Amino acid sequence: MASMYFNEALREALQEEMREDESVILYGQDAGIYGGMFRVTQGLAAEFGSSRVKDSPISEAAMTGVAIGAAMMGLRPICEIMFMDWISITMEQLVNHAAALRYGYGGNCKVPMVLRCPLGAYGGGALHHSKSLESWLAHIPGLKVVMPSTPSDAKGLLKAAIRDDNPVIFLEHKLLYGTSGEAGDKNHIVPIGKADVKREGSDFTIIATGKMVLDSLAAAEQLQADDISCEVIDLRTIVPLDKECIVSSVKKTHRAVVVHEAWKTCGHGAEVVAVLMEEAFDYLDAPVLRVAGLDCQIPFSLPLEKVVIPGTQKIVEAVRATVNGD
Amino acid sequence: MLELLRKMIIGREIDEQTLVQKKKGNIPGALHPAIGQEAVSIGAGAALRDSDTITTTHRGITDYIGKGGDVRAVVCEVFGRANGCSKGRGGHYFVNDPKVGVLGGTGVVGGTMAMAAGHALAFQTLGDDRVALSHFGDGAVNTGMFHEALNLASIWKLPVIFLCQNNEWALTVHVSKHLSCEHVVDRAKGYGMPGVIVDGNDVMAVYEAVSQAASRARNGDGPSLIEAKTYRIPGFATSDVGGYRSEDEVERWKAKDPITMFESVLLKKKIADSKEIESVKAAAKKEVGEAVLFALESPHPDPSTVFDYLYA
Ligand SMILES: Cc1ncc(C[n+]2csc(CCOP(=O)(O)OP(=O)(O)O)c2C)c(N)n1
Repeated sequence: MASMYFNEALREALQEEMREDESVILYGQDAGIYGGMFRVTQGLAAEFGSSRVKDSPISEAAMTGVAIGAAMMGLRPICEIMFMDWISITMEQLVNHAAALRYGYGGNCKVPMVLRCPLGAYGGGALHHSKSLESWLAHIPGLKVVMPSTPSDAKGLLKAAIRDDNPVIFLEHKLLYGTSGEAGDKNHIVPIGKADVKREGSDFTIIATGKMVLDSLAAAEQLQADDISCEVIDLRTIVPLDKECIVSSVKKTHRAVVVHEAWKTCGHGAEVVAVLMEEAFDYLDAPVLRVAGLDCQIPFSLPLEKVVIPGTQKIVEAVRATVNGD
Repeated sequence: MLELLRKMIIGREIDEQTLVQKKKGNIPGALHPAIGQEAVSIGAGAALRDSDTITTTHRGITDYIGKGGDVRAVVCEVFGRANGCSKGRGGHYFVNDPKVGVLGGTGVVGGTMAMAAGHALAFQTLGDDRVALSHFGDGAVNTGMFHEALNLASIWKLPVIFLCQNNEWALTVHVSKHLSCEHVVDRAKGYGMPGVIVDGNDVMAVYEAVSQAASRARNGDGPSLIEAKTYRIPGFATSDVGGYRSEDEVERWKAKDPITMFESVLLKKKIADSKEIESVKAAAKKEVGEAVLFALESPHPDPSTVFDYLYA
């Protein structure tokens, strides 16, 4: 199987699902002719025409509301919000409507929509082009929140998201678009709600999402040299959370750290830690630390950005601190 | 008048010289040059007093210069240095110079329109005769914020000027494909305020239109909407890969370069001769060149200060 870039894997998922199912449509700012800021939708307007692939005006609230309405009427809309920082503008529609309608209508409608958002710091994006806000969304019952780390998961999860009958927030770290790997064929579906063990280990569990999975794998490699064998779990889906996977890993390793780029305070890592407290307390040999974004706005200056955004080194340090602490 | 020319050239030079530095890898992130739109920024700024305020956009460096913002401070900020106007925190998205009323750049389209109305609310409440002006692009008029801010400013009769820099393109989407009416000002009627179209490549026309809107605001007659028709010559940002507009179109607009046009006005009206114009140009180029060198030698922010300015 050919290796492809992360953004190509996403494009292939969109293309295959649109070929398969006429009810799938997509739109976003500059997603049409231009092919999207990160080239994910390149060529799709040419293949599917303007009735199914549209450029939208700079109207994030309406873009989201329109997806909800179209989904209620049987389409499977995919809406791209160019940078996750502006998901703030969509929040009313997402929180009060997309997440709520099916429940509020007693099951008499469904909202099968996907909201795709690039997220994360990528070097000099500053305060409005760098944020990771997945924890905000994870707080809302009724939404699913998905965050792949490899081309294969990107493709398989996006296909699953499109086929899902619920609103799915699909999060793509900008630094992953240029990574490559195999992405599977037409039938490659990755189920939503299933974490993945990206590296097996016996001494320690590192639980991560998105780009932090790659950093955790690099950390695990370094720690191997110290004879610390790390298991790296890629959550892949933040909601619903695969509790079984993390709990069973910790039962084996007895130690864990949780890693995400999102801000630490009230970040979804705190939820993972709480789950371990509730369901694996007796198996833990050390407190579970969090490696997360500093609780600071994300600065433009690269030396400052480096302090705020976590990475391999901070993961290594947290694992060592946990091991040395007991 | 020569001062207007000088400021337009300063804006142009900052864009051009920082683009060169970006290519050399000396500037992180993307740049959003405003080459071709200088007459709007400079004409508007000249029509305002120092104590008036402006808010701007991701493409706001020349707006900042028009209002009297410090050249070195903004250039250092573009390079992310500790002595930049945002101490390296905000980059070109957050251009600001409170001393001359520049308070509100943003990376979020539509993010600062209500903020300008808020400046105006403060002026109205405090009973002084200052005005606020909001710069924004044609793409921004489709945000909910445009509609909410104009309506609110109108019913509260706030001393604010909404100045749309219609440069025909919202990134890669042409105004004819994203706007529901022919002109942005067609919307003014719905919000109960005057709507004026001006040639955005004519610095004096912009100056006149903004001056009128400002006196209206100072007289307590409320907000105005101005649409300056102009054009963005370079890509939407340094990340632009092109392919959405024709070379012909760009060339047609290059022929209407606001700086060259204003130079011929100055020459024709004998306000300046070509020697004077050349020396203004040379001085502007030198000033920006020195600011760039100064920025390159300036320190990066110290990582230990990362939390500075998070809370007051
Ligand atoms: C809320 C929001 N949506 C989308 C973007 C991405 N974006 C940046 S500039 C831009 C186009 C803005 O067009 P316009 O308002 O005409 O200003 P111009 O760039 O032409 O100066 C877009 C869509 C953004 N920054 N903020």
